[in-house]
Amino acid sequence: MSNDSNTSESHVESHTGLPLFTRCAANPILTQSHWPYPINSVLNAGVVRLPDGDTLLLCRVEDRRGLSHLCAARSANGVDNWVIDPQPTLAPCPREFPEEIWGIEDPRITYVPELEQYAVAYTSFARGGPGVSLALTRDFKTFERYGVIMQPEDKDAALLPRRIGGRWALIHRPVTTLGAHMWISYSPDLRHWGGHKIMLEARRGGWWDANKIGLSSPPIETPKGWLTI
Amino acid sequence: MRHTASGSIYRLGLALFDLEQPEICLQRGDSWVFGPEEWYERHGDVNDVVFPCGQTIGADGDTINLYYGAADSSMALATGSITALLAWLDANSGSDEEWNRERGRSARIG
Repeated sequence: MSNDSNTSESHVESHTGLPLFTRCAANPILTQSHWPYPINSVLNAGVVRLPDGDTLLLCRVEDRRGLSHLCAARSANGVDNWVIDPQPTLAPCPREFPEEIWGIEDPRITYVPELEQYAVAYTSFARGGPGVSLALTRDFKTFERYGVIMQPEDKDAALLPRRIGGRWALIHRPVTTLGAHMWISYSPDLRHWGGHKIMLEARRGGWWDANKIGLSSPPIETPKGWLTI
Repeated sequence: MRHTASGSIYRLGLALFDLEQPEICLQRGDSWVFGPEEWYERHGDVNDVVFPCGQTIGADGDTINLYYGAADSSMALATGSITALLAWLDANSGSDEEWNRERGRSARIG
C-alpha cells in the first residue's frame, strides 16, 4: 500500500535545487490501527519535544460517534514506536464547558518559559460554532482550562511563546461573511483579549490562498522574524 | 485554501512577520510550498488535505520536523530546513502587485 521504495519529495524546490520538504518513508506514521481503543481517525496533532527528548504528539482523535478529543502519543525518535495514552488525554468536558459539547479539535502547543508550562490552544465545537479555547499543562496529564478565549466562529489559534510589548499574543482566524483571515490579539493575563489586528488577509481571485487563510503550526522565532507556515 | 469545482484543497505557504510587531508581515510567499500528493494525503475522510499543527526543531537548530494531518485520517511527517525556507521566501515573495500597492498605500498613510 504505502510507497515503500523511497522518501517522497515535495515538488517545490529550494534555492539549492533540493526539495523544501521531504516526506518520511514511514508515512503515515500514525493511523487509527495504532490506537489502543476504538476510534475513527487520528489527525491534526499539536507537537512538542519534551525535556527527556521524546516527541509528544497531542493528536486530535475522532471517536466512532464522530466527536473529537485529544490523545497523547510519545516516541523517542518521533517516527515510530509510539506509546499512546490508553484513554483520552484531554476529553471534552461539556458539563463545565458547554462550548465543548461537540468535541475539541486541532491543538497548537507552545512552551511558555515564563510560565514554565505548555499552552494548548484548541478548537472547541458546539452549537454556536467552533471557537478557540485555551488550557495550560506542565505534564500533559493534568490541564488547567481557561475556557473559550475567542468566541465563534474562530479557530486555528496559537499563543506566541513570549510577551510582545508586555502582553501575551494569540494568532487566530475568525470568520466573517467576507472571508477568513489571520488576526492577532493581545492580553495581559491570557483571559482578557483585545488590541485585535489583522495579520494576513486571504487573497482573492485565482490565487492559491484565496478566500480562506489560517495558521498551521505555531510560528518559529528566527533572527529575521516569525517564520509562519 | 483553494476552492475548486470538486471541493477545497488545503496547501501550505510561508510568511514572515516582524519579531516585535507580529501584525506586520515582512514577506509573503507567492506560491504554495507543500500540497497533497501521496495517496494518504489525497484520499481519506476529507480528500486533499495536508494540515500541520506543530513541529519540532532538530538538535542542529535548523531541521524542522513538520507533523501534519493527512486527509483528516492519519498523521504524517515531512522534514525541511529553516534556512532553506527563509531563502525560498527571499526568492519567492513580492510578486503580488495588488498586495504591494496596498502596503505602499498604508505605509504612506501610517
